Amino acid sequence: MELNTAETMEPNMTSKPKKIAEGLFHLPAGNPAEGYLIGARCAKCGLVVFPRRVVCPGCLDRESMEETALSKHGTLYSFSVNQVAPDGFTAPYITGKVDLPEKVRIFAVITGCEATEDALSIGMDMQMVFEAVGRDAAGNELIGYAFRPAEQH
Amino acid sequence: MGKLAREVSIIGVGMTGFGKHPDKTIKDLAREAAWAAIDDSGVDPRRIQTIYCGNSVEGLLSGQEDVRGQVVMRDAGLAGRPVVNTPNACASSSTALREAWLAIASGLYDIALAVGFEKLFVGDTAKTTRALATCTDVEVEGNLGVFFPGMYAMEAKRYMYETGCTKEQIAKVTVKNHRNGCLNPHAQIRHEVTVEQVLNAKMIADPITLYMCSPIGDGGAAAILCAKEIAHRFRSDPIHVAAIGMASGAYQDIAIDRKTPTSTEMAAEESFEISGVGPEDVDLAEIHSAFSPAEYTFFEELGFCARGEAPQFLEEGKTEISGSIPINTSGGLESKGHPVGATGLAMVHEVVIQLRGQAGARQVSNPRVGLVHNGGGLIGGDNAVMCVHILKR
Repeated sequence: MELNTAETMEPNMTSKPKKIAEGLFHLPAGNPAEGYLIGARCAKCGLVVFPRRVVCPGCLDRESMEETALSKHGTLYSFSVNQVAPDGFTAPYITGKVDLPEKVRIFAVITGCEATEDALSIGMDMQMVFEAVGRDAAGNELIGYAFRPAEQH
Repeated sequence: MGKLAREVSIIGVGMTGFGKHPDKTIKDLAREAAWAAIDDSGVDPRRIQTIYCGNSVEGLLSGQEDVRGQVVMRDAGLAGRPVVNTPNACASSSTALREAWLAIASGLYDIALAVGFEKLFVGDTAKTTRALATCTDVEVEGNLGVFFPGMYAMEAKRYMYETGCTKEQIAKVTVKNHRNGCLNPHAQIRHEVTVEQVLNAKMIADPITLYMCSPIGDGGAAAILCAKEIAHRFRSDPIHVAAIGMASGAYQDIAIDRKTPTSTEMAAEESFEISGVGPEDVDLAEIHSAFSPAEYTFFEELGFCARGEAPQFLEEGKTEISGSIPINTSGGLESKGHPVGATGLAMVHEVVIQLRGQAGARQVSNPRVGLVHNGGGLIGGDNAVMCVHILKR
């Protein structure tokens, strides 16, 4: 897959959203709606990993890992409604682990629902989104990846 | 796997009380623990040939990032020998013990000191919390709202979903460990709690309430090890280090379907292979219950019972001091306390005095084999570090 690197060519640095972490996801043209997580797929054994890395942890091949955009939907493995928050977060907030179809389990903040036990259930369908998930020390919004309950069809 | 050149014994253990020690520096904690172990062993301290120092986050709290062990050993009067620092999150001092064991087993040294020390009360809980949150991959989980009680809560919630374990059953772990801690003069929190009190305590991350969490604390713990062939010169009751198994987590990207073992399963397998004992031979164990529900999942991964059976073992009294496989007789991390760099050697302290028959009111009846399970940090879906020690009388 051809990965879009438009964000690195963004001329106006001040309008570029600040990312919560580098190297984990792309925001093509700075647009959160088109964001995706950067994984790696082993061309030899098929294992998919996140974050991407050079050596396949399955077959140890050093040449076979290819960058891949991960699926943006999955099922909720588990979640936690946290009543205490680390720096940059406000309690209560939810963290969860979501299993993607590539058999990758992603840890992320969960948004788009009330921070209550009843809002989520293990096994439910989740949608990946890119949005402000925290703030830096100066109070600026930081864009990260998160999951929210998938919309019902 | 190869063979050890020779066997190793623990001939001395010592620890400070765990708790809030505003009057003690990190040097005081390390010195008191080290000298308590030296006094307990009867060894002439001039004969200690090599020293291993476990500490997790002192660098981030005080700025003493490097040569932490040399700094505290200089204060303790033990400078001059090789000092090796073994920072490895909550398993730092188990890592120190393992290095001391290997150094003697190799034949190079006869007598070694392993010491763990940590001072987490620095007048700024947020600073301590930030420092402890570096026990992960800070580029990945670290930036994304990682919160250790929440990480354990997710695993607990999944365990409840898969096995039917209830919140009441998790609270019973907390109740048992606090009851045991009341009998331990070194424990940080020495009061009993009821299931109702545990469930009604401040919610931290459902199902984990405040009482289910290990507290932050200050403390030190140490052990003196020597070659088994000379152990009887110092004590009539040396404790044999039958094995130390160690692993790092295989992480979720290859463990998601549970086809690959967890770090606990790998470290346990190695320790059972080296020692030749199995879970059925173990008479008591200290398990890394940083949060109460983890006692169940780790108990199962260590092979003491099948998945989903641990709550039943507790409810039948099997994991009580009087039971067939007592767990966390020291009070566990929830009650005894968890000054992270000192935790592993404090667990070893408990098992050693139990095997010697010196545990007083919490003494297990005639134990011969004890196990210590001490993990550190979280990366992906597993502990970053895992150590399983098997000690024999």
